Amino acid sequence: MKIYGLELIRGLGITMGRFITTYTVGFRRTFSNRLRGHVRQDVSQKGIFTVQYPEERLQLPERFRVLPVLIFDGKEGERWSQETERCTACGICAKVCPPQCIWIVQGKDASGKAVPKASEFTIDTDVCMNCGLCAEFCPFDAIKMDHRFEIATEERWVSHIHDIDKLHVSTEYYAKTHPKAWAKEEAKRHAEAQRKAAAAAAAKNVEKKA
Amino acid sequence: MGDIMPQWFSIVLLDILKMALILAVVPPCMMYTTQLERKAIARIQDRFGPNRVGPYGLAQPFADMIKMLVKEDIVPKGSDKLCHLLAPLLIVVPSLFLFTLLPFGPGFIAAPISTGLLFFMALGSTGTLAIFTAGWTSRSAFPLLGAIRNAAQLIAYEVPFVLASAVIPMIVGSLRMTDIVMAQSVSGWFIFTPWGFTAFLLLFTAGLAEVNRTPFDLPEAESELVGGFHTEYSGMKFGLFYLAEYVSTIALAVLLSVLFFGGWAGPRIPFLPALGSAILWISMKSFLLVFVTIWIRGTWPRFRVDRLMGFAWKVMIPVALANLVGAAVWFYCPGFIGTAVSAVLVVSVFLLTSQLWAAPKPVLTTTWADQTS
Amino acid sequence: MSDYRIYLFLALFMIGALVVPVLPIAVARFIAPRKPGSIKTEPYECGTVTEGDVWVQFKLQYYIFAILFVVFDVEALFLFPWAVVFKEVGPEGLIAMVVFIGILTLGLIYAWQEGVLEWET
Repeated sequence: MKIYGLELIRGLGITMGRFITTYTVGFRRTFSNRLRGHVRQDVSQKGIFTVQYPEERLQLPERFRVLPVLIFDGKEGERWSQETERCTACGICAKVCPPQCIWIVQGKDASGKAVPKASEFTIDTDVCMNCGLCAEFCPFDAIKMDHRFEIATEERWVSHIHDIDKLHVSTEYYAKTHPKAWAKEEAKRHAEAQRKAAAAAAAKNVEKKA
Repeated sequence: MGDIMPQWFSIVLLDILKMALILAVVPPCMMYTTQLERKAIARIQDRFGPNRVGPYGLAQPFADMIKMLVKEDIVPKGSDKLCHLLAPLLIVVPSLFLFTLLPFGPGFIAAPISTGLLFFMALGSTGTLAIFTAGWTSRSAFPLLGAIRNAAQLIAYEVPFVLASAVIPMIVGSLRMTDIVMAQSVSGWFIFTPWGFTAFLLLFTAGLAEVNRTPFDLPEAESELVGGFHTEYSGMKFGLFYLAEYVSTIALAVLLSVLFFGGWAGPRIPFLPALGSAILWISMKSFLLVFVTIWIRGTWPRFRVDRLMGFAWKVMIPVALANLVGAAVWFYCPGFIGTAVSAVLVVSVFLLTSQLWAAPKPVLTTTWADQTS
Repeated sequence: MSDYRIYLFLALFMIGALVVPVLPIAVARFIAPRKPGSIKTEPYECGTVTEGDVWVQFKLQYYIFAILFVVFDVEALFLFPWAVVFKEVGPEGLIAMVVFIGILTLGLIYAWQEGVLEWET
């Protein structure tokens, strides 16, 4: 014989336990300095898990990606220029882009000769699907995925087409948002430079001997 | 004639005052019950609940009200327009009516009629008419299903509700609400007697079914009937169904605290007049019962339709009938023997009927086709 | 206070209580937008068009339950006057009521074992 209804009462006990725990944990959080401002997203954690978004934020993972940006060598607050921009208008990003949302126009110098720089670079952000293939394929580390996700606007025609001015961010900004990737790239660039210098020196030696 | 007129006038004025008090207090109570429910269920689920509008989200009910007011009222085509409008009126008025019959303090009752308990139950069951009107006139499949379910559910749970409450007049000897409270101030709260405890559980369960609260919210089952009888209602008309549901829940809680928890009885609270203390006590008892309904809503899943009907007919009605006999035994043999006998009677009937109801049934071959194959 | 006075109050309350539902509906009528459209006013059925009329006949089972309900609710009605005078009528009244309830219980047991109480979906 089975007695019915006991599990119902046990269930009530469980929910009451959760109910009380949210308060005890909440009080401890309010009155302890150690726990204040602690982001509550751990599986082992008890109590309320809600992150109160505009005031509290989760740390974004570095590989988090929203909308591509272009990178120029410089400090934050500076404006990009043809000298500092990294993009060479090779068009690989536009080719690999699955939804085809990138348009590039190659730049010209003062004499009207085509140079390996982009003068116009446009991304339709309504079409972009944040896949990050452009950043994966760029051979010059010129296009990268950004972290800014609060991009809602009240108007959806002009402000959603990002032109080259809007897309450009400084290397300083990129180094801040992606410290690990930046360090890796810098190390690679440094090694490459050393290798080139060594090769040049070796070539000079060979020339000398000959 | 000159001195009759002012008397007549003062009577009507008193009536209007009583009416205005009920109509002014009950809807805000309902608004904050919804707030309490959202907060409490959120805490049960490790969330904060509404906490953005005003300090601690306390202005949330007003925000909800404004939202309801400015939403478009959509009447489905092919529906009975008049009845579609009448249904929310029909459900709100009786639910407010319940508060005229409930005593909140010594002499603090709007309508102290001699058949208070019976009239309360009669009014409480009219809600199903409104719900059926709402479901039927919408001329849509889901509301109709909800309406039919509601009718079947109310038919099933009305019987144990009435049978279980019959033990109160048996022991008290009156249907008047104030007499019931007075009797408990003499003999102690009825919840502490075996028949009272059983009747409380039965009335609470059947009451939850009558006001369509979890686990008996099949008529409005959000996950299967997309809102049931009020699927086709929007804006303020929908809000009125909500109002009626919560008002009925509060009325049920007050009724239960009157019938089993001694009503307004309680130690005198300092710095308050006697009436204020009484009102505070009954409010606290009712609040606790409302909280229990919310707690249940945060815990238990919904009944299945066949289980729902079976539970009422096969478990609750036999237990309610046994409880009547148990109360009679308790009355005629006072002391330990009566208490023990009535408790054993009710418990054994519950165990027997629950086994018969919920135990897995043997599969019977019922048709000719089954027998041949 | 005589009961007639109270019933007068209840009648008055019935009219007065109408304010609570009527007032918000009336206010909503003035502030809420009204743009009915043919698709908007279609009966809801998860996006599909309703097949046939939904004003249909019910399953017979509901009527069986309704008859059972009438039986037991009438029983409850008889129960209440008895319950009020339970103390005065004494053991004879109790025995009479137990016999009455017993007959109805037999009816419930009969209905149960006949399978009337099984809800077939």
